[in-house]
Amino acid sequence: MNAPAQDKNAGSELDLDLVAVERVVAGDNAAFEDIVRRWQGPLINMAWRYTRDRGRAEELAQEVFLRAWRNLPSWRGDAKFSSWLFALAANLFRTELKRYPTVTAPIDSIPEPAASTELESEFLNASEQDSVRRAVLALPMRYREPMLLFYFHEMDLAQTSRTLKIPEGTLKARLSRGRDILRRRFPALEHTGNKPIMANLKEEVAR
Amino acid sequence: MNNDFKTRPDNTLDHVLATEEPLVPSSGFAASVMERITDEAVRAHKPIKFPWRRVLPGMILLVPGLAYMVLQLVKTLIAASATQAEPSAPFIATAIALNPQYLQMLLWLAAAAALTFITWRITQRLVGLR
Repeated sequence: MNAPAQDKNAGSELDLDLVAVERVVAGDNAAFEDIVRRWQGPLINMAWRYTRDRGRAEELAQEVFLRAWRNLPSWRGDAKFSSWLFALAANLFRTELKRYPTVTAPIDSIPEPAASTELESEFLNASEQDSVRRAVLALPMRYREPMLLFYFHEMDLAQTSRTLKIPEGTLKARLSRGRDILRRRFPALEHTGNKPIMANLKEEVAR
Repeated sequence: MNNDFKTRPDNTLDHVLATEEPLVPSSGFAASVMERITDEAVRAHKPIKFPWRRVLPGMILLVPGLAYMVLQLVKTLIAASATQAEPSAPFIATAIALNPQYLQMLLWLAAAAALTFITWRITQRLVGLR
């Protein structure tokens, strides 16, 4: 997808959200279904990254929609609807996970992929990839959340920092630290990249 | 998904964390969200029943008090007309002149009215009616 087409799609999506929100605020609750259908996938996937539990992910996503519906008049349209929705979701997931933490093994107990030499040219297999993703949940919250959201937001620093309400510099530092911890735990990850850890971040900033 | 990244999976960690198979929402997910929203909207618009059961005993007790007040007022009026106080003086001033306790009663009434008003305004704000 080229950039202008992406912008056009983003613009029309924004318009659709705006129209739906205006209708809901005017009292047409049925219009909220458009919002639910448009954002259910991203929200469930975001919750999944926080929980790794499908049932709980759907419960949390449902709760986000309810809160969004209640607080819809507070969205003034100055930020993208998706940014507002994701920030709301991140707050809720953070609070809920503090109350009922996801059961995670300590990062050191997560098995490391064995055949690290073969992995230098190929990506990890499915279960090994799953181990790495689960290891993110074992990181301290200050590194975990930036890691979860940065990749959820398709490696977009600006959107991630807006969702977390932290400066981009802080976000980059936390991402770097989170990656370091994971790379130490999974040395196989360290040798496969052709570029240093910060290269992608720098390219992202340049974009 | 950021396609620039997808075509440039030069980092295994980035690749693993960014390219996760997306979950598809359950078929009834949207319907169940809308059901909860409809329920909540109905509950939000349903007027709260006036608590007659709780209020009625208080109102019944209030009747003798009101009757007593009316009686006292009538008595005061009669006394005021009998003593022929200054005809231009307002009724309340005459009543207070005859019985200084009325001033205290009036202050209590004003305080009660102010408290009621403040409570009503706070309630309106809490339910978002402004």
